[in-house]
Amino acid sequence: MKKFIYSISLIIFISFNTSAQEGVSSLPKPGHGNNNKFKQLYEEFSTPNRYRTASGAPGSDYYQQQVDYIMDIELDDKNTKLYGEETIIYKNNSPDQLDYLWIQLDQNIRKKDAPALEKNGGGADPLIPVEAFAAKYFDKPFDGGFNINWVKSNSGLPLKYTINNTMMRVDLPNPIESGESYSFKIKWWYKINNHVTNRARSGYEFFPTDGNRAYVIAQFFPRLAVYNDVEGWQNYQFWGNGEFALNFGNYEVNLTVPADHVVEATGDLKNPREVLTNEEFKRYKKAQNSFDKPVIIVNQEEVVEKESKFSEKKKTWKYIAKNVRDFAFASSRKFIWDMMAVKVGPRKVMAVSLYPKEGNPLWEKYSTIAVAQTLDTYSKYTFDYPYPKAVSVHAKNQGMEYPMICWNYGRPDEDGKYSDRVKFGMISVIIHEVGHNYFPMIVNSDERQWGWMDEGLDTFMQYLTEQEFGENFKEAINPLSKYPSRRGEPSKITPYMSGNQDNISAIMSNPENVFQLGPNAYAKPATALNILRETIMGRELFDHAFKTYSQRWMFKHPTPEDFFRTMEDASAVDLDWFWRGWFYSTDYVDIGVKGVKKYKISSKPGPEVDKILSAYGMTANDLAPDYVFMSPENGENNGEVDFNNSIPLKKYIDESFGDNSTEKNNLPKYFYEIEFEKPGGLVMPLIVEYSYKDGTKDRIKYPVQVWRKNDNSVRKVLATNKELIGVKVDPDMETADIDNSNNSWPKEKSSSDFEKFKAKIKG
Amino acid sequence: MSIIVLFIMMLSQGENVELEFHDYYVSTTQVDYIKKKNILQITIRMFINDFEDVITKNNNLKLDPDSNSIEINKQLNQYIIEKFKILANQEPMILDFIGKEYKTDMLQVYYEVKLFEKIKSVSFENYILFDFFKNQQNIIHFKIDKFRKSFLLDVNNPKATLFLD
Repeated sequence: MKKFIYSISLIIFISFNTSAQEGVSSLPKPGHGNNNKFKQLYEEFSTPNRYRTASGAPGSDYYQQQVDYIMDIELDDKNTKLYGEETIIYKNNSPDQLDYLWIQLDQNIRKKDAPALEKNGGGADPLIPVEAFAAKYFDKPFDGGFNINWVKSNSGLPLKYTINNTMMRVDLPNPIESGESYSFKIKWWYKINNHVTNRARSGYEFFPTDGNRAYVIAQFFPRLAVYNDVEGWQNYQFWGNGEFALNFGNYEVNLTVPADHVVEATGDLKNPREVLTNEEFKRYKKAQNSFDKPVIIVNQEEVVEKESKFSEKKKTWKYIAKNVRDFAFASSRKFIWDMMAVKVGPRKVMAVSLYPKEGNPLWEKYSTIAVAQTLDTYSKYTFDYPYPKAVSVHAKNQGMEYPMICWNYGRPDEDGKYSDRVKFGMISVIIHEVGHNYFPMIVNSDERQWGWMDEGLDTFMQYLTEQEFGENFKEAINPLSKYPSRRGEPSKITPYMSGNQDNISAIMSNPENVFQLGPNAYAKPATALNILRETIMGRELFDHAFKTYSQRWMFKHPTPEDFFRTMEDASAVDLDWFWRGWFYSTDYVDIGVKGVKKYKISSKPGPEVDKILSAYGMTANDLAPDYVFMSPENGENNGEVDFNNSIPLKKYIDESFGDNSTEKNNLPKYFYEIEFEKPGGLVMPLIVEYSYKDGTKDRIKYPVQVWRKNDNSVRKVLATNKELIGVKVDPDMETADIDNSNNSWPKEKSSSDFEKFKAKIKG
Repeated sequence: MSIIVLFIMMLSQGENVELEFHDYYVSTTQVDYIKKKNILQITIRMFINDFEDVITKNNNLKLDPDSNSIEINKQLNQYIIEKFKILANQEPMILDFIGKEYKTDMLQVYYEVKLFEKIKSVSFENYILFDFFKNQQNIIHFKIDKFRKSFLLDVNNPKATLFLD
């Protein structure tokens, strides 16, 4: 056993003193501002304007820039280099005159002196695997990043440019006026990294057994930054976590690769006849009308045949993509290729998969059907998928999304065997990444500032899609009865939300600054939306509002407020309290039942009434004769109340119901006062299940507004004609309550997983 | 009851420049003190595939379903007792392996610790998976009656101590 010496970097003393008394003082408490949980978000939200309206829709002056690209790209497989020459056509739709353009050079994050390499703190490692030690202290960092050959105007004049880290400013000879276009050219190249060892979104995987590489290439060309009404020029550099903010535009791209490579990319392939063999072309044509199962265009046998022959020739694959915010491609001689046609609304979309043989037999079985299911479910809840295809490419260890194409993990063992976990991991990541076509590829939110806007919405939709996949492909999930979704269900987020507050960020945080991106930008917002849909708004109101948001911002650039406002505007449900609690704070849900008191009807006023009366200098004799007196039962009598104890009440009953004994019998005869407590900071609807002695149960959902005048506790009266034997808060665990030990009356011993397991192995 | 927490903590993350879907490594350990029995109930949760990297490093064992349950439990227990320490009143405690189960993509491992005297301080040392993932973070949730305290441990700060009095 090794011994370690620890460095004590920071010592925090926290003192808890639960018995401390508040100082007694005759002065009232100090004043305070409006700290009500239901306070509207006027201070957090910006003032609506003509670009973005108070309803959450694009305003009458809403604009967005259009950027078109014409590119010639060459992949040098032998030397792992990528070369490009691009023409950029920038259309200034803003009302402003632009003196310069900012261009994103995301590859520069891989320069050996990139500031991003030093963005994290952390001291010496007391314990480190030898490979990691060597990589950290011995290896020279990979020296990637863009080499800019030149930037020229269309007429060939060099343009002045300044590179600041991952961004480049191009100074214009003349400003671009509002409504004008400007066209210019950039020539560049860079060294391609290994995305497996670098844990990167783009690069190649090297296969040592056959010496081949599979390329998944993205962020590979200088791309225009977004200029808009909320940021001006997006000036937040690429630090690695915050992804991309991109303009819509049209692309014409010629990809020159080794002649034996198979390529998939954003956009329509314009020259299949030139790049495919006759046989492949025949299958490609057949696939266009195969709606029931995928057609394999390049099969495993053919791939194995090619793997040992490294063609020296080149081929150029030509793509055209309309109205996309980015362009990415995959290329390798190792790729098996299949596709099928899917009907989406009135249109036909191709669901496509591309994978090395290392992905089989898993990939040929599930990838394309997972793509098809994603298009189907997402289209139902948002809008019909508008692009001609959706491609799922198998890349080791990563999931990453681009328009029409994405990279996904999920690899069987070398003997072709795979566990359920690998299978479900693969299907889930495909659904997630293909789903990103909707958010943020089409509903084009700013990922650089807000990771949750695409990840959270997409993870929410992923949950719905996984569940539908489970219903539609029962044999794929056999023997489970429902798809094992990792995220989306409220109970799954409680460990995160109950964690140490020092290490949790509000959802409304920049992705660079959150502690755990997974729960923070994916799981928590997805769960919050699921709770909105199931518990707070109901499916009908939620689905309509969510669809309204998707359709309003389809092919546009929404901000968080546009989402928040639309969800309220389209549903007439005030959700400011929900956004404030779930999105702007790190509060958690903890609601419980504190106690139950039974009340009886008495002939005389009880001590509580005397107290009230004496405060007014009155006695019981001063009261009018028509009051009913209720007082706590103190537990000795569980029987029904006796109406005869109250003369005015008996008189009222006799006069109202006379001899109608049925109506008399149906009158409530048990009166309970139930006190609910709320140790958690979040307000939520109070969902209560009441159980009665006769075995029946009632479910009451008190609106969230019940907390608006007292944030700590609330009392409710239950009048019933059955004896109450149990109260349970949030019986279906739908509110993400972090502590269920206070959810029941009488107190139910909640058993932990530990206790359940121990009971099971004993039994 | 007054509780003073001595909390050693410093945040650090690995140097991964780019981060993608599920590129985070977290284990969660729930430690519940059961006063009546004077024991600690411990539940360690980690991603199955993270732990599979441990178990497949030197042999070909497969989890969920287990290729060889007895051998896997043996190796799992060996790994955990080497990487996870609990000290009560500065004395190392013995971890009794109760068992393990799978929940979706999580592996849950159960341990029990018998205490022999009144607990005044408890220390945790958690090196689980630090030898595989430089980004690994291990969270410990400690619960005694209504009091809860969480610790985020990482490779630079694998140790935390809690004083109870």
